Amino acid sequence: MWTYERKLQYPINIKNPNPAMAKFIITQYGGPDGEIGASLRYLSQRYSMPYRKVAGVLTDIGSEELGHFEMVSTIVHQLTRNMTIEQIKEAGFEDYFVDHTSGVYAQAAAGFPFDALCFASKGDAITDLTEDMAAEQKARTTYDNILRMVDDPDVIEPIKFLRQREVTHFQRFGEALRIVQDNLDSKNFYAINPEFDLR
Amino acid sequence: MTRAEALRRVQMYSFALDDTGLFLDTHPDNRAALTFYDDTRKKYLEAVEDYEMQFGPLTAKDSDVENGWTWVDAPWPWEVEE
Repeated sequence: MWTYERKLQYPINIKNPNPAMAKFIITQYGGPDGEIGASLRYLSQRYSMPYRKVAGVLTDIGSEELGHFEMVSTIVHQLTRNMTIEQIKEAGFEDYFVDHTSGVYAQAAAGFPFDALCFASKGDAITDLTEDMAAEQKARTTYDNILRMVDDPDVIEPIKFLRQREVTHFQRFGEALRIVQDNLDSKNFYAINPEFDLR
Repeated sequence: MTRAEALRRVQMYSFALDDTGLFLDTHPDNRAALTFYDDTRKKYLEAVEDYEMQFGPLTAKDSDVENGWTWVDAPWPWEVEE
């Protein structure tokens, strides 16, 4: 069960709408390395994880990612509010506008819709945590790419905050992987799959 | 204190607890982190109480229904602050 808190994890107040920016930032909502995928990946992986501390890391990071997709959607919403048809055409926002008006829809920068294939859950502790570490780095790279293209401080600050969280989560997943390995045979980490063989 | 200022205090302490809690998940015996968590938690609870007294509930279950159901009247987090 979750409790909704009426606040963002980090404040967002964008004064100047800019649909051209929203077009690519939306990828961190519904794209392959976006926050929805991150949240559902970690929350899905918890159930078969035999080590309580590691299941705790997956629960807490997966929950924080719920707050992150709320932040990315807020950025997209504030960048696309009160648009005129003129601004939509100038920004090249026509394709999105025709399909979704100014509603927030989970899609990648390239326009394809959210796909559950991006949240791997393999049922093997080493495999899944290695996936999670890579996922955090992919999201960090995406935020770095976004930061190369935005010039509005109202957008830059929350994106920098989200980028930093990817680095922190990468660190925590690395420690979680270490906890798993400490429970395994140090001569051969792959001798068993603790999520299947330790029942 | 304005609503934005009161909310900022809640956000600051709340985030400090998020981050320290995550650190404690993998370092549960770290004394410095436990002490920081305990100090920050007190400040967080105070900030939440100050905010909710003036500006309404931060979670639905914090609703005081003496003046009716106000949960759906206050600004939502994605709205640009006044």
